[in-house]
Amino acid sequence: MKGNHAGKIHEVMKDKLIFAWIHVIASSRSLLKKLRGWFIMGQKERIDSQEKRRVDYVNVESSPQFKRFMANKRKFIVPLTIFFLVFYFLLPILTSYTTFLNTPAFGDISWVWIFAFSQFLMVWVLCTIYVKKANSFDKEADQIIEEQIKKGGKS
Amino acid sequence: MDLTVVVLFLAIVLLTLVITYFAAKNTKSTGDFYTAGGGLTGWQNGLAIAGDYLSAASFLGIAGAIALNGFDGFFYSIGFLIAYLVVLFLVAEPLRNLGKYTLADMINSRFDAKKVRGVAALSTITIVLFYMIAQLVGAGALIQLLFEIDYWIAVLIVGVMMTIYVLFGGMMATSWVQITKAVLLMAGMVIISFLVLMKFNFNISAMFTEVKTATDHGAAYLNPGIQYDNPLGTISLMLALVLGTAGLPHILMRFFTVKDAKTARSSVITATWTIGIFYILTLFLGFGAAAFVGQSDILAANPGGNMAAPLLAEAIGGNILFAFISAVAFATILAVVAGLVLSGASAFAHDIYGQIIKKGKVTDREQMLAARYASLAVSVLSILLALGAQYLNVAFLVSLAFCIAASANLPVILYTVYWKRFNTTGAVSAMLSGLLSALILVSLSPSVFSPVEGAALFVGNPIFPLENPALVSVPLGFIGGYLGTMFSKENDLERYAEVKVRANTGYREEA
Repeated sequence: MKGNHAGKIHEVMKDKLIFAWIHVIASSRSLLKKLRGWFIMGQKERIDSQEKRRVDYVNVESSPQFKRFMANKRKFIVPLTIFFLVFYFLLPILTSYTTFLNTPAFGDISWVWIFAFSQFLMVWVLCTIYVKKANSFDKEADQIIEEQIKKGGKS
Repeated sequence: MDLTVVVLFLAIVLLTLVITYFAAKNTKSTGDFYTAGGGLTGWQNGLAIAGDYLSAASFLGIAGAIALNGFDGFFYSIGFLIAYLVVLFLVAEPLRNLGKYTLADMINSRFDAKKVRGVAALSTITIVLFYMIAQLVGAGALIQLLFEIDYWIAVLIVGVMMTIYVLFGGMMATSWVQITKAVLLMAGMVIISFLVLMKFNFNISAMFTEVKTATDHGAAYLNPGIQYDNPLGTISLMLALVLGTAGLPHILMRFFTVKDAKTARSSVITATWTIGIFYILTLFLGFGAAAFVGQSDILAANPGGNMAAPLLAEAIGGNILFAFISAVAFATILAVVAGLVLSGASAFAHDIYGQIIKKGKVTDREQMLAARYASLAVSVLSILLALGAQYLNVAFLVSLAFCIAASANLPVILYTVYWKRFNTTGAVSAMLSGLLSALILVSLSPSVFSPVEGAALFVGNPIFPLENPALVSVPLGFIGGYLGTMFSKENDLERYAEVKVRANTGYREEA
């Protein structure tokens, strides 16, 4: 009897243990699912916002007018951005690895100062150029808004 | 404390309170609170941007760095300035076209996922808190020197003032305090520079000749290399400066205070001219301090060189100029921390509370209330942290803030606007990898571990060699974003078409 009883307890314990294991596995699977869901996401939320859209932006984006506009912008922004970044990093690179900028340019003012001041000059020149150019981009953008977007992008 | 100093100090306090009073009367909606209703004009916003940028670190820090280290101090001026080209060419207009109040708004115009917003808010809050503690600790030490009061009183004064501006006047008060201070600061800089130049008979070459022999460094003072002798370290610092600026939340927030991208653009132009002239003038301040105050006196007043500008003012303009410059420095600190509180509060109240917890279903009244509670919370938290950090060397916090801004915020901004394949997973992984790599690398760097006691937060050998890990953490941010994007197949081309069209044309659908 006693042995039987003990066996029963053992059985119950075993069941409980199995339950516990199932629980752990199940919850870790749901945790994994959650993690996965957390990482690969955005499906449902996106659908909601799509319904709100009234303008056919894909059509606008693939129109020749918009493509020309983007190409103009890219032709202006990309080369100048590369230029100013290169010009900027040239200063610490040259001062770190060479010393020729330390030779005097005007009196006791050495070339490194001239280079530094030219960075200021570059900023002001590029700002001015940017504003001029951006005004012409504004006109193109306004045209796209008037001719395409306000008509729902279906022209 | 001198009577002139007290009078000018009180005048600044009074002036900013009057501004706050009028701003409070006009702050009625959430839009007013966060962005002054988008009603600032180009030049007003430009001056406010310049004001945000010309913190006590720029004003006192760079003048001191040039006075002590010659050319190397000037590196900062150049980095901060060129950063505005990055802002102007790549960030300002798309940001204005897509966003409403915060950086997260802009990223969420492409991805609605809450996680994206949450991570963006987290990076904003981290940057704001670190930057704010650094500013407050610096401010406390400085005000202690300028006005001869205890550190904790100094921190409390600054803390209470910034809380009042933000709590009652919101962005309107913060902006006008910023504009006022920018004007005062420029005036102070011009006066000192003029006096310094006068001493050299307006001959700039003579000034260079004078400082060549004025310091212990001799001719080396005019060459780079006194402070930054590690090539990679210098380049890394320059990278953090040029990209970090374009990702600082309180700077980004400034593009929502104007009505459209055109005004945003014109405000960057005003800011760039103001900041450019300012940084040229830091040279006169630095050289002037080296020549007329002397490096040993500057170091004796404050080992970081922060007292160079006020001491120079005293040396060439007497007590009144010293009092004026001290009062301006005080105003500078107040205005910058107020801007920081506001950007931190917007991440808490708008992103986390309004959009994530309440899913955007909040009334304007509730949002205002949340924004005010969040401002109060951010203020109190940073005051407490700053009070506890008095004896810590917190210089690393500034480089940390710039590093996180450059590594976590900038890659995601650029990807969102310019990369077709980019997706939700990529946005989260870009921000997280940038944020974590910046945090981990800085905490292993020489700014946190130094074998010399007191030189950094802890005593020990640094594991990572660069003080400013941007050279590694910025690429990690970009790579993280790339890998995350490739890891998930999700890609919404329709949505990108919308973002691309809106970012470039400035069109907004009224919801």
